[in-house]
Amino acid sequence: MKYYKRDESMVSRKIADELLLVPTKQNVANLHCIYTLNELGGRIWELIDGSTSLEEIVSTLTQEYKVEANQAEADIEDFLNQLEEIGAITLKITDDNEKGV
Amino acid sequence: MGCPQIPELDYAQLSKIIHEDAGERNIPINGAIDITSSCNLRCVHCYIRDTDCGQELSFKEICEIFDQIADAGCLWLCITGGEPLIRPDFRDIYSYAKRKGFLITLFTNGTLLTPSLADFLADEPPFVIDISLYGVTEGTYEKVTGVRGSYRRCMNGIELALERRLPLKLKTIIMTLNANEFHDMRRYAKNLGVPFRHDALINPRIDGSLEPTRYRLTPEEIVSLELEDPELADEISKVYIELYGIRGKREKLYNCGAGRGMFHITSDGKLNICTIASEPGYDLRTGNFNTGFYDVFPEVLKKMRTRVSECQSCAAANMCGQCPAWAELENGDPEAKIEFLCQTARLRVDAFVKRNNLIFK
Repeated sequence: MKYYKRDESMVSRKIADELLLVPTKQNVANLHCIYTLNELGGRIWELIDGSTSLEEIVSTLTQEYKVEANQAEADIEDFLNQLEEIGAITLKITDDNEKGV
Repeated sequence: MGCPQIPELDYAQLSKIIHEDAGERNIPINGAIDITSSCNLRCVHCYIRDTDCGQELSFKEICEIFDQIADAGCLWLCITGGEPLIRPDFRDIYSYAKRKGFLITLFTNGTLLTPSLADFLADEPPFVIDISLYGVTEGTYEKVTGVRGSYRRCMNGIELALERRLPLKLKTIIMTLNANEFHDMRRYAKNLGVPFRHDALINPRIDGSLEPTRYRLTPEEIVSLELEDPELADEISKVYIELYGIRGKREKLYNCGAGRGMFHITSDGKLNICTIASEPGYDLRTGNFNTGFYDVFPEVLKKMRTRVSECQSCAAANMCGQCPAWAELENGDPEAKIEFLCQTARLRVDAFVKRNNLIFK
């Protein structure tokens, strides 16, 4: 099972209509970028708690957004990979009977 | 279901979006907090004295305030003082602020920066570390700060900030004691590759003392100093040409934007609309931030002028430092014109706007 955990060095801030990911370890001024999430990205971010598996995230979102699981899963995995690349989350793969964290 | 995305925004883009959004909804996006009124220097021009404030906020109280202002939407937070690094629990305060996701500007004199503290800051860098520089020689610097050895410590702090690649900026207050080194300070910063800015408009102390104003240059001296450096004169011209000629009714007392989208918290927990205004002095020890910002600030901001002033229709109003809080301190009357600021603005119009109009417009 795949579980994702938010990295402590990435702080999320909801300001006005923007959900921002602010890296604490990087020099924001030099980096010239802070990450923003759209509505769906923000919902996925909410669901990433270290103990909700990828399957459960997909299942929740397919119900909420009334879409096919196959289509949703590819988009969600792609997004999670992006979050992983920027150091916002870490992936943990466990045995089926074992919880993520 | 659309695709979830992580657009990487250029900082300027992000800042614009957030400020526009926050401005419309009056979100307190910009804040400043004095975490202490104590300082290890005794600068002649300083607007604050240790005795000006009551009991300093504890670490726990500061954390509670950070929780509240983060919930309210503060993103850019200036941590200042006094000298913020003087607090023994500075690292705890700073780390807590980082955990809340603020983009922190740290105002410091740099003299208390140690290798260990520089390492600490480099691990979780501030958005800006802004060090005040008062001269490029020991004699001049220490005439301003009044503390022997402070120049060497400041230089050491600057070197540490550079070595650790902290996002350093330098700034100075130009006054009678250091005007002769103004251009040298600019050159020094330029050689280091560090942004530098100056301010020559010295305001009275917030306790009402006019002592700092003794060290002001005259408006003529300020402008002539600014004109001596053609590069600086060009920079100033570009800014002032944008600001000049914006007219408005200015019927309210506060026309500067203080208290809208911004706030200042004193070291004893009083919430004010800006740094030098002691209004409303809302006590965050007994009340919460949102009440102060959304219920009490409007009472201050709705105040109207009681008489007509030439400042209201002045074309230079947006490039002038005229301010009710300053006028109260200097003249005992928030509506009274501050002659020093008025004269400086008029001379700057002649020097930087009218003279250069053909070049920049």
